[in-house]
Amino acid sequence: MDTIGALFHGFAIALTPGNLIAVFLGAFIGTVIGVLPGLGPTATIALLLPITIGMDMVTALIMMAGIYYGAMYGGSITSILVNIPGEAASVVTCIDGYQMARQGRAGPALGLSAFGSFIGGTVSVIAVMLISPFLAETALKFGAPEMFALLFFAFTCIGGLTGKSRAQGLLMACVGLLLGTIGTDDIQGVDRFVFGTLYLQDGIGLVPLAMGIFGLGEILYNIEKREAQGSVLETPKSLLPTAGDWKRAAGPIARGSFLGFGVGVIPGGMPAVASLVSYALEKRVSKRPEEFGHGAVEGVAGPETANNAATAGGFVPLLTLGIPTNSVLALMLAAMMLHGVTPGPLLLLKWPDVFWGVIASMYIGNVMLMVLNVPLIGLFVQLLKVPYGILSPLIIMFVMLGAYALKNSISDLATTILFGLMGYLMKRFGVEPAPLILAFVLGPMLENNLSKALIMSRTGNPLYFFSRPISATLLSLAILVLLYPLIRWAWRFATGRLAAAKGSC
Amino acid sequence: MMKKWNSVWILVLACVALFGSIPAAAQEFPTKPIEVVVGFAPGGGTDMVARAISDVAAKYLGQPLVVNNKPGATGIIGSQYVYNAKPDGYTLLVAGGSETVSVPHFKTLPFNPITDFDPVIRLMVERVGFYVRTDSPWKTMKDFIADAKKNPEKYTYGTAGVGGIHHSSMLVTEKRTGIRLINVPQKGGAENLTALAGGHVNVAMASPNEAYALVQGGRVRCLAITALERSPTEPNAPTMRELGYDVYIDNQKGFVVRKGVPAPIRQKLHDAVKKAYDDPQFKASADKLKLELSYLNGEDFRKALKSMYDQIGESVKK
Repeated sequence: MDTIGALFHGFAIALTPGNLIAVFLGAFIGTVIGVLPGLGPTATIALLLPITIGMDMVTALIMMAGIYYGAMYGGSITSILVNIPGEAASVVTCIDGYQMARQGRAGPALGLSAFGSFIGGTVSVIAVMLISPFLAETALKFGAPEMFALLFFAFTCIGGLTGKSRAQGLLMACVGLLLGTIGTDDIQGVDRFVFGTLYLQDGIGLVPLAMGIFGLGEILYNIEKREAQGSVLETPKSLLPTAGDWKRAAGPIARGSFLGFGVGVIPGGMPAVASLVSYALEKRVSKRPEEFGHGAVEGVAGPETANNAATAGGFVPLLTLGIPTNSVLALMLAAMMLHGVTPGPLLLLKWPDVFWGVIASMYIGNVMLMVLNVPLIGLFVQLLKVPYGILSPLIIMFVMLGAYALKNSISDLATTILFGLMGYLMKRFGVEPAPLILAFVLGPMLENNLSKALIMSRTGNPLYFFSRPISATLLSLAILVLLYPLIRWAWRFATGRLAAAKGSC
Repeated sequence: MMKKWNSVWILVLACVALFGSIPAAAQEFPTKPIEVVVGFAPGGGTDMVARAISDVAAKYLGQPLVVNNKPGATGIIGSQYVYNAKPDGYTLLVAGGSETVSVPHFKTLPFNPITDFDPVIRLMVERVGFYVRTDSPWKTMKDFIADAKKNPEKYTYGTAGVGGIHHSSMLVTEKRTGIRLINVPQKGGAENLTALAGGHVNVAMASPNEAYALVQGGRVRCLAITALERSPTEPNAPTMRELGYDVYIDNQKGFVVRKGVPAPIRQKLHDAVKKAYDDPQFKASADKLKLELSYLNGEDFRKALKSMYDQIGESVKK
């Protein structure tokens, strides 16, 4: 009852005209910067920070939160329509979203992404509201051993990602792992494969890599196929998801909501990680895994739900502990401090208006995103009618602009072009990119947490992982998943024997 | 023959024009916007002080100061960018922390962050503190040092990353106090503080402004700081020097320029930025962001940098 009363108070704050405009502006700006590759929410909020000093703080925070989750949604638009990931969190949406668009189903893909984002975001906000303090405690228990166990669990799902040829998929996962080792090692500080350059010390960025492999690779391949004359994409058939789509998307959206929120709450769990893990999970549990990579509805709905849910989940450590888990949240922390508010356990007690105002605005923001984007789907899809000869140079321009804008780095441009060539070759020889991307992102995190956990164990004994309840549970689950085919085979073998024995009696 | 002499004359004239124009250039400086390079992503202490001072300094320089984030390699990507820029005073680097005094001892760099740059002004210090959980048995730094001395390599500490100034601060402390701990390097300050709050490390090296929310929330406390003076944010934490250990590391933030910028231009930059530093508008926003302002002129800033660079160098070599 208390919570409900406080929430109504929050709505009263969030629904004032000024704050409604702030939500609208934030969601709108966020969508736009999400659409533009390279220009992310971090840079935008950093630019807006000085302006917010003069604003009411709740209004400023509402707008920043709007920008943040607007960007998560906006990123999926370019992923689906032109195969360019606007943000790291929408990289995985390229895989099936773009294939859906190629089959003339861009409208349903965008629709599912919008509805999924809405549901994921809303579920997550409700969870933030109800169980934040409890969750913050649990999230703190996630140290390196727990993180390692979680990532290990995610890796057991990669086996299911391999598509047509298992050998080829595993090979790509290895390439991803190798690319992920580039840069200064986080534990010993040793340089690996940096060839004496400063640029490679931080490793290869996910967005330049993905923009190359997906965006540029696709364009180069299409030019070769002489499709430049007309549109490569079939004309859109329908704008909204069909009943069949909904049926297929329901499970992924439900799983994505909870998975995304859980990953978002954990320190170090970013929206990009949430979307990748969701993709792997959906393929693993799907009855039609062969459709993944060729326009599977689940491959869009799950990850798009998960990344929005993770975005909201990230507010838990910020609001309850005062720990920002990524740079966008760090800027929001700065904005609060500029106004003399300290996030953390005291926030709810001393500044309830801030806490409940922001929570309420997130509900409104999620509705706003839907209102803003669903009617626009028809307009976005029109983009695909632009002749490819005109569209493709424009896409190349945006990819280049985005690659530079990311870190103001010319070297990132070179990286994008290099991976564009690689993406072209992969497309040419029918190699699927999903295992590479997944291994590239999760591999270095797995290594880092394994090393840290082993240092923490003092002795380096791997049994240390089983001495901590969370990591023991997760690792046991992962081992079960790995052994499941063997167990099933043994079971069938045993029951078969039994049946045969009975038959002979 | 004629042609050869022509080119010599042109060269001489060009030299006269170039050198003759320097005092005039210093007087007119600046005639275009000034680029402020930050070697870290938006949102950190380096970025925030750069943005806060740039907004105000434009008033005194007559030209806008544009913050340009060039993140990467613990700030070194930004340093390299300024190192390669024209030494005309239009490219400033926000420096003085990890990239200047710590990283060079862990990596071979194509330039020397101390001798290839000229400090202009120091704006703030981000003090480095030893933080433990509130439920830990150590009430004071003395307790901790005594315990750690009895139990070498038993306790763990976390830092924001290998080779950064927080890591180096602990290396200097180990060397000067004789304790030995186990390093569990984290990825960034937020992860480091989370690891401490969750009890995954015994001690975390962090700056008072980063840890402020957790201290207010009663989860962690500061045992001591490595600075010269006490931190206004943590007034009860003694400095290591007060405790009798010769450790003095500050994570300084100020403007430096590429070596070769004429002294009159550096002076002009210093004077304008100093005026901005004294401006109540800058003071107010710095205060809210918990930025601990601490002015030094270019020469004293250089000496302070050199002192930290040498202390760390001696501790890293072992």
